[in-house]
Amino acid sequence: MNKQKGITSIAVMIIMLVLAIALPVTTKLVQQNQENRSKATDVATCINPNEYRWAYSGGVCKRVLARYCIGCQVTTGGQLTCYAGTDLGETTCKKDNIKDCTTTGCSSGYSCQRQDNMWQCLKTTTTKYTRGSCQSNGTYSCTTSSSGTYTSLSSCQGSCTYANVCNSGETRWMYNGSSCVQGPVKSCESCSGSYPCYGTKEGCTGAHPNTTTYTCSDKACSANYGCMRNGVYTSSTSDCSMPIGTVSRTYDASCPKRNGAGGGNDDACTTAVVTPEVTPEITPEVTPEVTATPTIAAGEAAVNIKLAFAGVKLNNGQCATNWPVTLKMVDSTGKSVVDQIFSGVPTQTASINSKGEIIYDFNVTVSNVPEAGGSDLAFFLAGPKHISLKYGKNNQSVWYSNLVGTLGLIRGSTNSYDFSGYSLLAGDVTGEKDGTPDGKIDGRDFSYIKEKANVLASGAAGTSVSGDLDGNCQVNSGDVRLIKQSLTEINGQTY
Amino acid sequence: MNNKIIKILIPVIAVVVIFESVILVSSLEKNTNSAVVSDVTPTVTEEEKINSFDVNFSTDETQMKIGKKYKVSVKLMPKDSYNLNALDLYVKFDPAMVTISNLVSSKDLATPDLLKVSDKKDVIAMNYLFVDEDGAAFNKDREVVILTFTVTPKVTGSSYFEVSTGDSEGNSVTMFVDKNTSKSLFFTGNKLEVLLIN
Repeated sequence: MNKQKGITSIAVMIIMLVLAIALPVTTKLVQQNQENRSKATDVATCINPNEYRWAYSGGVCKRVLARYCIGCQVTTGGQLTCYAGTDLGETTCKKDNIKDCTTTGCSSGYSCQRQDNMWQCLKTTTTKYTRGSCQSNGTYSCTTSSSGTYTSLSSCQGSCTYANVCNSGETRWMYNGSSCVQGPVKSCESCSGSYPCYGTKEGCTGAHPNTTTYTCSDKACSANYGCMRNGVYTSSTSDCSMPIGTVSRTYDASCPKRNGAGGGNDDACTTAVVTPEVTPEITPEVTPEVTATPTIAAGEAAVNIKLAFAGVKLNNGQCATNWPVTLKMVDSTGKSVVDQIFSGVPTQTASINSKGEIIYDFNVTVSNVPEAGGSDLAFFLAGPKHISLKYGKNNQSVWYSNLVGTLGLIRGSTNSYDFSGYSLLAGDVTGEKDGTPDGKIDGRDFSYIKEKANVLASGAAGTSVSGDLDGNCQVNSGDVRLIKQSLTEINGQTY
Repeated sequence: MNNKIIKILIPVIAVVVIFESVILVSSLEKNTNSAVVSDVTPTVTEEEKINSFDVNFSTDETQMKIGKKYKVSVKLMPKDSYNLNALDLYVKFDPAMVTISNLVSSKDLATPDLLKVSDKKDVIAMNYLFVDEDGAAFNKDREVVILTFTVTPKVTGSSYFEVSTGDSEGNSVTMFVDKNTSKSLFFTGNKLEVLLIN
């Protein structure tokens, strides 16, 4: 009896001992499992706001909008990397199987690459890039190489270009048999020896055997640059090689002023051979009026811009009042000249542009202007329902596709520019959030305006009516037409 | 003696087991709670989307010979009935690998406002703006071939076509804009991979 009792007691003790050991072990395993699940939730984040991510939530794999991701990190490459996801249309998450290599790294022979919307360790392969793919990358620069294959896009940069090919986004100038004209960017590739093309308008000068037949006006020199022909500076302002405002120009007997205006720069004058004018009289260009203004404080520059809002016309813009605009000035490197975005309400003038749209005056004072001022600038202007539009030259009348602008900013002066010939493109009225502009004009904006136009949404004079692009206080077919025009322009330039 | 030890050990171990149970299970509860928090927090802001369209590529051949022409179709399968005010479709492809030509839009729809092969963005761009008051009707489970195009391989290798959801500049975003909400409807799409051979 006692023996049986003893055996039972030993058995109970063993079971309890097993329990004593098993309980903490099991608990630890359960905790580990929870932590893994918790980490899995954290891993799934985003690439960019327009993409979707996959995340575990409540034990279910769900597709969620990336913008709601928390804790995304921007890498040096500028990409949000804390991401794990799956292809669109798949029903299972991959994140448990594929590690995010941006943090873990990859073993030898593998590199961390983005594929199928994920960062994965993939076997390193050498992608061959051709001339076309290099160029489409948009970061190459011109050399004289005529052939070649490149193993990476980075090797394209700075080497994948060819004679007579323009830089990406750069305007080319070509001689068309009678004059030097602006040509499309990419068709340079088809230029032949008899029709050379150039990345800059200066290149046209004197480079073609028939240069004597073209004139400065043919070259359509910008307001900031003068023209040069056969090595002679004939512009009323300066030579093509130096922007106005960055050099101290003088004129003397060997470089006479023409039409009562200034001559070339010092270097140009000393090397120029003055010959009788072959070309007809050249009308002085409409240059930005750079005038010394005593009221401008030291280190400051004043900017006066004439602009127009697409579709806003005289006697029809009762609701286009107090529409604010923003201005950003960017130099040739893409950086802001001054670290500031200017905003304000432009003043309506009595003038109209060629389309009958009201011209507004927008004045800003720029402080902390470098002593040398700014050159090769582009101005980005945006309105309340208008996307940010690039203005790169004075009196601009079409989309500016060049990378670098030609505008200048002179300290201590009023820098006046007229952009009213190319009015701000209207149509940015909504986005992901209802009725809130998102900096883009797309199908959602079109739909928003169309639906408002279907019910002729309107407001009182002086108010801002959402979707009313022409400022006539009512959303109607005119606004639908305006956004279609904007989309046509944007798509035509983007694609 | 042994009995005495056992008599003492059993209650001691029993107490240890009970203690462990109480402490560990309660700690487990805490972890569960914290897991729920991290699970629930994003859920508050998450948007679960209902798939509205399937966008699929189809072609007769997945192996294509250099220089020969092959037809590829883009088919739209509505998962429910919708009226669209706008349809922006962008198809990514590699211009170094293939040449795209002969773009043909759906006969069921009006002429697109934009239809071109973009050498600037390496996409096929197709935009519709439906000006009719009711927009364009897409009926549930009624497949529409919205685009066909011809592919001519240039070099050997693998190439693919897929619906673009936007580039780094925010361009080329495919969207199906619902008339009722003026929002972009959610869609899924496949990726067509083809092998380019001699």
